[in-house]
Amino acid sequence: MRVRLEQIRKTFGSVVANAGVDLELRPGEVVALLGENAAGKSTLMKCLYGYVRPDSGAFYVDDQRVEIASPRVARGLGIGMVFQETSSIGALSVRENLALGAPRAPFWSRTRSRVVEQSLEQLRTLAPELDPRSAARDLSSGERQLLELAKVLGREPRLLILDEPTSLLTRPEAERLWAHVRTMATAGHSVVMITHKLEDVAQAADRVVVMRAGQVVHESREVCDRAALLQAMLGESAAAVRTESQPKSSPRTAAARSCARGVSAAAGTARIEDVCFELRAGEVLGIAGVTGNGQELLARVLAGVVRPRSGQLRLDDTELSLDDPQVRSAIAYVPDQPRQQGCAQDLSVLVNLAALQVPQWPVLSRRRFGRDQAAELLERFDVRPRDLDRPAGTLSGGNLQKLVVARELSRSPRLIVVCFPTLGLDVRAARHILDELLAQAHAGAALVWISEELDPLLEHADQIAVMYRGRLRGPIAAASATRAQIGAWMTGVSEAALGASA
Amino acid sequence: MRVQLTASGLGVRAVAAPPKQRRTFPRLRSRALNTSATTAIIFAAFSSAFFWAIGQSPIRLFAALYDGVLGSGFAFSETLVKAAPILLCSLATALPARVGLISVGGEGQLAIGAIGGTALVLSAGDRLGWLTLPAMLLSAALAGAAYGAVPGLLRAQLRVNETISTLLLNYIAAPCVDYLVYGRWKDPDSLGWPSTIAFPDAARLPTYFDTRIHLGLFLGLFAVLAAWFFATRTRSGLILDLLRSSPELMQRAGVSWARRTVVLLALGGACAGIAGIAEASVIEGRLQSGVGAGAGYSGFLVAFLARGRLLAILPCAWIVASLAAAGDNLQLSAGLPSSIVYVLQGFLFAAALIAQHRSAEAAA
Repeated sequence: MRVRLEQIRKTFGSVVANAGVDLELRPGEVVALLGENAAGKSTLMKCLYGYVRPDSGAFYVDDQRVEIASPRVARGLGIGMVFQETSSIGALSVRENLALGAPRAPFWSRTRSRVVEQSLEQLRTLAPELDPRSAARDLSSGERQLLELAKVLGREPRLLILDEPTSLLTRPEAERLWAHVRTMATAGHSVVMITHKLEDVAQAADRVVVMRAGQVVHESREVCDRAALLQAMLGESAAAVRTESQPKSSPRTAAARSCARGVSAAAGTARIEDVCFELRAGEVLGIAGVTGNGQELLARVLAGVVRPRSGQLRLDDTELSLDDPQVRSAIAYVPDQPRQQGCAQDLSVLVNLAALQVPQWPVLSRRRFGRDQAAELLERFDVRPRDLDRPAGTLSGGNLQKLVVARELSRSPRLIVVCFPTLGLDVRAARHILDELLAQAHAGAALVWISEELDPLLEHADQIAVMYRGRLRGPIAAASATRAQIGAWMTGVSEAALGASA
Repeated sequence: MRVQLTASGLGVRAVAAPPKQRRTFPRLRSRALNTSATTAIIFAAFSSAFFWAIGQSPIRLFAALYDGVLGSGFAFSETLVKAAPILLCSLATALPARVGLISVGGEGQLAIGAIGGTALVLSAGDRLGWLTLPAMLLSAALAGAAYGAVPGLLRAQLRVNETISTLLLNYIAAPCVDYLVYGRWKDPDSLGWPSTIAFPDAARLPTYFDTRIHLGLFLGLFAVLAAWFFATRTRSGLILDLLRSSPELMQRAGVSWARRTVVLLALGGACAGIAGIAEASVIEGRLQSGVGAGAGYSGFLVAFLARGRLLAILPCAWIVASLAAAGDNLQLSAGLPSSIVYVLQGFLFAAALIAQHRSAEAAA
């Protein structure tokens, strides 16, 4: 089945996910769709699967223009997609889950059981040790992902789309998956693999398409050229682009403002291990990495919200602990989910701005206290609307983010920990927040900045580190950092392997 | 506003109200009034259907309600007498709800408070003179507070769900009363009736206006008003709101959620404990099995109906007490069993749930 995507464009609000993408998928070919997070890979494929409607553009199947209005239409055309999130029901057996995934059919028809048998057959080759009678909740996360794949394979799709198929798989499972994908291609089916792992590309793909910022930036059949792929994935120049735009005015003292030595912590499923860094006053530490590698936990530990299991955290010459009021008022923290973690949604904007100072208020003055100061903050950070009495939860995402940043920066902190501070902001607001953060750094605060976007980190940070599976790689001086090395850290490729193939 | 039987508290507003919109057709201004009216209508429908089903005229219910509440001065005062423990016990739920906890422990704390107060009366006898009364109240409050602090500590230290633990502790408290009144505290002259000896006059709460209205009612009124002032007018009340809404933010301000959890549950327990000793001291004159007659659960119902608005506890307690009074009336006039009170309370609870759900849907 030959599928052609023409000028697919999709925007979410002001965010452009796909900016007019052209792509051709040929029968018997495995295409790897490579790119950083939020490069638009998944959105593009969700458009093709009818899960997301594109704003404009057209799809052609065997040179016939088709309208893909829903996943059902896509499945009718022979397109199948396996999502990253699994949808199996824990209490049901593997077999029952497969039956749920089978298409609707009247009870006398054999279609369902045929599809289920087919799925089971496929599952047997993908995961030979898996007992179809076992309950889905007892499966490993990798097996559950393979179960999703088997559901789709049961319908015998002619075009199979896999979203990050190997992210949860063990090595042998991944190898079986690659082999399976190759077999499908030999049988004349097409496969699209969305991934950010170079290994997937090298092992299974015929052709690689690299997307960045909603556009296809690179297309080649050289699936093993790691260096070229990394370069295409992360940006044009593999050299460090660092602009010393503003001279650092604050005197750098030799003593560390904030430092971590061998810090380990665990909360829920997240864990961080043996994190070390040293940050002087006025310095910016940029932490890159793909979401879900422990960044959020690291931020919470650095902000003092979660106590580390072992290791040492210091702020100037005291131990970093929220029990110490001096330390408490010296830390600014913008969590990754400001709506859930950073504000009291049902309380007013005024109370939210003052929240951290409320314990110091006089006992009986809760109505008028701090109003002028709060109004000034709204003005300075351009929080709209400028209404102090509105519940904070009614603000839009971007304005809520500004509100949280405004509160955190209003206390002239010594240590600032920010997670994705410009997420959901338009360009102007993002610029403004960045300027405020950097101004605080110039005034002598140490800034730990966790982000998924590499460019601003490279531009503004003094040190760069990468979180990968709970461990901090680096930090290294940003001036000597290369995109290739950071990319290798982010994707878990060891430097040796990178050197060997480059 | 949204119905909350969730961790965010008993109907304490946890979801921001949408900005006000101009309506083409005028509706009832206040959503609270609207919800109350809906609750009343649904309750009337449910209970009428029930009465019809058991072969009674629904008119009888409303006649009994009227007679039992406003029929005479005596009826009115008796409703207030019933309202006193309910008022106090509603705080056992409403106070922890300020930080988003759901406590059902009023019933058990009431019983333990009654034990605590009785223990003092029995051991001190007449020796304390006029000090007996305040000492008895204090002892009851401390016992209730201690019993309330248990689920607080379990929650704060071990993350045991406070709704479950308070509920289960109720089932421990009631047999404790039984153990004492059937056993070592049993009055030898009571001819087998399981109760302690009658309290001495010094241990009787004062009554007023030639009715059975007693000090407990005024303590309850005072406690509710004080709680309201504390929650809405002081810094600490604001801190509790912040804790309920965003514990992590308050952790960063150095505010301990654990400590306030224990303190609020203990304060609620103290209120319920006072309700318990008031019932034993004035209404029954002695500690006996089944002290309080369900006032703890009625208090939960009141806190639920008031939905985090502390002042609304006052009318709600009066309404729930009216139902109890009507139930007594129906026992006499229609020959219905005493459990009719619980049936009516259940209908009221269900009606409030439905009305609040409707109101939440309308808001969304």
